[in-house]
Amino acid sequence: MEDALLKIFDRLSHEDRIRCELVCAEWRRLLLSAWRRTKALDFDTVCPYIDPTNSTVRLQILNSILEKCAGGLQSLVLGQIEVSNIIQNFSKKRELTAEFIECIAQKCPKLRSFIVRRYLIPSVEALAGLYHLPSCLEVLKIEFCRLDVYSPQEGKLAWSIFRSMFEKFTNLRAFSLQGRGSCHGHFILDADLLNYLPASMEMLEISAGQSLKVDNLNFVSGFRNLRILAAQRSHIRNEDLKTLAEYCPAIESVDLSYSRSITDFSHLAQMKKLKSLRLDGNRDYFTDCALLQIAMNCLQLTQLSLDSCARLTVESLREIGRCSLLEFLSLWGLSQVTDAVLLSITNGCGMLQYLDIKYCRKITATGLQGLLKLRNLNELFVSGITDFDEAFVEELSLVTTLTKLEAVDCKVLKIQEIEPIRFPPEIPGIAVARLDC
Amino acid sequence: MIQLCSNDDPPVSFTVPRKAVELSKTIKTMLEDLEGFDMEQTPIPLPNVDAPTLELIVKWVEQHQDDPPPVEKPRVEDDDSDDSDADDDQEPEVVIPEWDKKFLPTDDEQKNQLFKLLNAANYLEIKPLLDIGCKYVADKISGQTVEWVRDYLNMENDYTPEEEAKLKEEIAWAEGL
Repeated sequence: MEDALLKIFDRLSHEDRIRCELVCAEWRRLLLSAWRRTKALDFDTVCPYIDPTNSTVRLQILNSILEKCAGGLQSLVLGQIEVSNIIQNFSKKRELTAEFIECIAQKCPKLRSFIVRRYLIPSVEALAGLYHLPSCLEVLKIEFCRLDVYSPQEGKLAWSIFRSMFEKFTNLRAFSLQGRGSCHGHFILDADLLNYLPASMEMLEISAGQSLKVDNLNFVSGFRNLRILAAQRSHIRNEDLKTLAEYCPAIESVDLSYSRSITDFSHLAQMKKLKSLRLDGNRDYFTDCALLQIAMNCLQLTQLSLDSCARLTVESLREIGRCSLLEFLSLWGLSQVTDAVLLSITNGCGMLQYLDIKYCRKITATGLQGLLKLRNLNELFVSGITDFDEAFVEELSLVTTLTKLEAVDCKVLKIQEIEPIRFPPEIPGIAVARLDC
Repeated sequence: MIQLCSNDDPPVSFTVPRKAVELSKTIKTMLEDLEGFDMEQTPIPLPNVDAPTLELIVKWVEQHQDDPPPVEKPRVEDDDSDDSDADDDQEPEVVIPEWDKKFLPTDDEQKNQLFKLLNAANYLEIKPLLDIGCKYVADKISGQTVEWVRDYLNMENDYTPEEEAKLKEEIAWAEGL
């Protein structure tokens, strides 16, 4: 009985495990051993029904679960990124208080990965607590949190806290501080601070809204193993792309959306291993010349996002078809995407699963025919393309496995809404299948 | 053909095609170790399995003898290698096939038999059978109240009222789920 029970307990959710302790003493003993073998914990999934604003109760629960794990935990996630019904019910911010972080630092001596999302970090003192996480930490991600830093003085304090952390966590592979606008208050993330990151860095995501004041990438010259760089709205310049291409041979994912100080993107074409490239909103300086070079050289690309890159013309856009491995392509609002461009892309990129051509107004029924070649197409965004109609949806659903379709503002339609096509039932409310008149 | 014997007195024996019996890793290893002996003539005693359970096991392996072998997940040596080992306690998703749904002894009076089957599958190392069985029970008890689980599995509540009250207080937040 015992062996089978253990196998069953391994399949139970964390909530169920906690509740089943009450069944009998034998179960409690076996369940505790299941906890001791637990290495990864997603805390807010364990207890999604607790009042997120009740910090006392939350601390008590965290404490009790970490006790059960007996120090074996290697990965801890706080907060959820997925938009589900549960989260919408509890839109209030959960708090990462100083006590909370102290509890984690004390009870998880083997922690290698700490990820916190959509939390409120209420003070610089709470932030300072992160310094006490074990020195074996490899992954530190603070994503879409609000960090309350009320004055420039506190901003400087926060800066030195991050500096101490970068110096302490000598095996850090991944660092992420992401968020919008002024969510990090007076904290300033600059190149001087990033200089303190250890050479082990592989993933660096610093799209930190207004806090990001990075004007050069000299610090990446030590990161031989850097694979991922995301720095939206930074002030880096042309020569920094050269540095990145030269010193980081493993780089495979780059997000430089809204890089206002870059006037020449052609150095990106030297990154031969590039799999993912996002350059949204580079309206003025991302030109045909750069895209042509990228399409010729970066043949490993699976993801490409060029929303609102208004300078691009037919000449370079049709060459996207050379990237035969593309699975994700977003060209939202590019007026130069013509039927010829779309046909060239659908001919060349047969693996596409995600295609966004919203408000590419020049596309007509002729170009849309190309979509019928995309057997793997899963998500399609065609709002604003007037020739997209009901009959075409039917044609499309015969050859593809479309699960998400967004088609508002399409002219020749009789119906208001259609049922989502073969849409996975477990995430209701996410797929939009609207065909407005 | 291979003969398997239950632990009853006298033992009950079953004759099973070798291909089917090799779905049990325990027996497969044993047969490989005894290569050269005429195993067709030598019944294999299974000291941990009684006749009704063995009958079920035989039925299952005969049904599944032509299944493609389970795909071993290749260990990917990239950035996520460390994360994947943090996920070791996560069991893979299992879908119970139609035939197996009917096969599993799931009626109320058979629950004891279900557990005997799972233990035998564990002892004989028939992983797919163990997976679907455990998945079935885990699905059954997930989201249920403690009383329901106790009742379903005929478990005795051996806590003293004081112990129970203390535990209940500790996990009061999980009770209302």
